[in-house]
Amino acid sequence: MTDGKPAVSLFYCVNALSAQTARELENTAEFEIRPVHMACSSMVRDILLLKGFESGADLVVVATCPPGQCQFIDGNRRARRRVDRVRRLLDEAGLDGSRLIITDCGLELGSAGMLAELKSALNKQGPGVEI
Amino acid sequence: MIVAEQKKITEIMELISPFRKVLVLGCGTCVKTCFAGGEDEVAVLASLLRQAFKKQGRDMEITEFTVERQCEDEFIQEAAEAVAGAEAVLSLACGAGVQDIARRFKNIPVLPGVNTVFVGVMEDRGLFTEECLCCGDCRLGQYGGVCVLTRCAKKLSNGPCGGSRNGKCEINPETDCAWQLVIDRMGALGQLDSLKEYVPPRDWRTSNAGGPRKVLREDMVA
Repeated sequence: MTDGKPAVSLFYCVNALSAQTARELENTAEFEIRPVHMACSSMVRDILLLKGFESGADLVVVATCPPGQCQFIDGNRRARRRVDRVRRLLDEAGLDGSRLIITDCGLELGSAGMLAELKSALNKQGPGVEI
Repeated sequence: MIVAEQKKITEIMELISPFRKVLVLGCGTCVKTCFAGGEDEVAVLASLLRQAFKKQGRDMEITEFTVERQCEDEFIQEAAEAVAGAEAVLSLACGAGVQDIARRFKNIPVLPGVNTVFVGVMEDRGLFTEECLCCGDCRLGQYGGVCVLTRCAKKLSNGPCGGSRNGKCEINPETDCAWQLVIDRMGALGQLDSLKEYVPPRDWRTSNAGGPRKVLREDMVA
């Protein structure tokens, strides 16, 4: 939580969100969104997701390309498997793995749709651990 | 390589909870290769522990360090400063590494963060299989490079048994029958006839059934 605004770390594949959407999300008033763009969502590592939470994010979001549309063939599948693993680790540690979200609808949703998704996720979970 | 698996986080948290300053110490050799205790796993575990204890309202200081090998004094020394600042060490090395750290740093509790499982290979990415029992009397040459002691559920020196079905073991249809592998391999080498020779029972005194073993290279002794 930053200045009363929920903090979100957003790791996104450059092909999964348009640059304009990313900018709009970064400048939104409702959330403190820290976007990190990557050449492929599979570049997101377990520790990066956890560092997102450790540095105060209430939600960590990974935006991948839809199934079958990864230009590196299976980068989105790898990212999803990694997210599943980190979610399991978070749950085991009592840290609520559902605060880690993966979406493959970024291009389709646009910034308004993404914000609605974030609000819905946050309403379900509440704020995270303040570190 | 030695293959290990990280313990459950809840078990690790219980192990380290009596202490306030804990060093998570990784090993950059076998446990790194099997994704159990290398630098990446140290970072992930330390981050989870920090967050989990914080959520519990505990003021814990979790630090991280990784050495190239925890089973060699030369590398262990590099961790001395990091160890000195901690109340306990959570070692992510195999059992040998944990014991060597405990031997070197006598005044600090050393706790295991992984379960050492077996000596094996990476058969596929993320899949590790047991290949060697460290019996101390290797007969791989007799069996075409397939260890029947390790890979046959019945440890048959003269096989196969009647439970081999379509090249799979009766204990688990996903497990290859070791003796099928032996026969295929010896067939390919044109040495099938050598399997007709009776192999007498093994002398297990070379295994650790006779207590801990030692290997001495006299020319290398200090």
